Amino acid sequence: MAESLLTIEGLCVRYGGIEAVRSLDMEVATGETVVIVGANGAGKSSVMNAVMGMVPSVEGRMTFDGRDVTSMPTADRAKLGIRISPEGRRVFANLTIEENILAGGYTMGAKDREASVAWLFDTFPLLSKRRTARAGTLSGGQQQLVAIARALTARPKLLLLDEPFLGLSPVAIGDTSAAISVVQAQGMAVLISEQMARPALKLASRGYVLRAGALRRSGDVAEIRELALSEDYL
Amino acid sequence: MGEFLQTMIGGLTLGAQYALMALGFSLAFGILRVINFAHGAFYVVGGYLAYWITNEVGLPYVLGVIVAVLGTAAIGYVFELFIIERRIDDHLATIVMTLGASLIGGAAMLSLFGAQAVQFEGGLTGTFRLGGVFVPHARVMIIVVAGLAIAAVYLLLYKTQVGNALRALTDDREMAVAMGMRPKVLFPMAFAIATGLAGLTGALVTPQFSLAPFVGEHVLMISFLAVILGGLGSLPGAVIASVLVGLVEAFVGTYVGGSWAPLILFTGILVLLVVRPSGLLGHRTIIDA
Repeated sequence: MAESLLTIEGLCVRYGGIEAVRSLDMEVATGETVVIVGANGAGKSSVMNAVMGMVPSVEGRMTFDGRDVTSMPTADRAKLGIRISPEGRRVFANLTIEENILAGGYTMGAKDREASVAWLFDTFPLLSKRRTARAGTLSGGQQQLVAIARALTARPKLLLLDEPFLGLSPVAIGDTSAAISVVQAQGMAVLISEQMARPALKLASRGYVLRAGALRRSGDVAEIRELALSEDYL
Repeated sequence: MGEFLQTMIGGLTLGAQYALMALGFSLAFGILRVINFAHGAFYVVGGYLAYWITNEVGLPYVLGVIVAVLGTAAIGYVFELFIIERRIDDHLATIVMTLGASLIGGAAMLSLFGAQAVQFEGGLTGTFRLGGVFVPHARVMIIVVAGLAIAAVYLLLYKTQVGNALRALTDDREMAVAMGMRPKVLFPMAFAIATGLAGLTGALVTPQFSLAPFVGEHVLMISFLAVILGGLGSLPGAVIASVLVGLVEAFVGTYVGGSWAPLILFTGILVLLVVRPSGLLGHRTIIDA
């Protein structure tokens, strides 16, 4: 396995008295695509948000790119090269597609940002055509592409995709999968969470299965697929 | 015709004043989610700063206006950074903090300049003839400067990367932070712009109207209403509604009678909000926000 980019050891996340994630160990290597499979409420989003720093990890240790990020504020993690396309997309609804993508490059210099935006519009002609449309007016599939593009502007080392296929039409699932392949081709590491793991399993090389906040199984995608099938996850 | 024109100019002056105030109030609310009850106090402090520079120090009025803008922006910056920022997500706490700041601002002006309204001289004087009526230069100046300030805020918000970040923070603060935007840098700045606008309004308007320690409350209330009428969080809505409110106030004052203006205005706003709870251009109601 290549050098480890993200290492999570003994992660616990709690909301009030409820334990959403329990002593979880997880690893993502540089350039690798990893999937987290689990039912609704299994703790997938909590893991994603904890990696981004949007929820505090109450226990455990997290290192990213050789640095301890356990208690690092969200904006600093972003600066280090972590980006998220969150559950429910959460595009900036009143900003245009172009402004959303520019916002993703907030930490970059103007020149790099412009170059990145040009590359993204080149890569996603669907977005280029509607660049001045307000993101709030787009369909779910288009919003998912905007959320991914926005997360890519700064060319992160690790892209977190929280349920990118949820609620999308088959065509939009295809577009989103294609977008994720573009990310992989850039050599970025990707952590995808999914309930409906089929499209995600096609993209990933390894996976983790979560149930009720605890790690149930980890392994290569073939093993995960087998386990998930036998337990009716798919 | 003369009376109509005069009323129109009076209404636009009022509207420009309310628009500048409402714009600042709306910026602070939209970006920080803080209802700034001290916004009127910043108007008053701006007025007194300009008065002090112009009438007591004896420098030109233009300098007084500049000092008022920079002074209120600086106070706003420090107030946000050191006080509001600590409890930014506790809406009740920020209401109490800004209310407290409002009282302190008024009380400070009371101790420094007395309870009596001061005679603010040195602003623009003189008139010119337009369509048979005399128009004071000062009124035109207020309308023009307000227009320029609104244009500047527009350019900042829609044509710069910082403005893009401020609007992203307005839409979804958590996601904006996840893109690397730092509220601790951007919030004091946004608040300073908002309070600087209030200071600018005070410096421009108080030579025309009156300047006493607590005149800000009325202006704040009218601007607050304009913000709600325009649609909470909508900047264009706030500006348009402010101009409408100014015009209604002036025309009712001239053609129905001055004392009727507030009654008709507030009833009208209430009825409009019952029919259209999200305001003229708003897409969210006060309750969602």
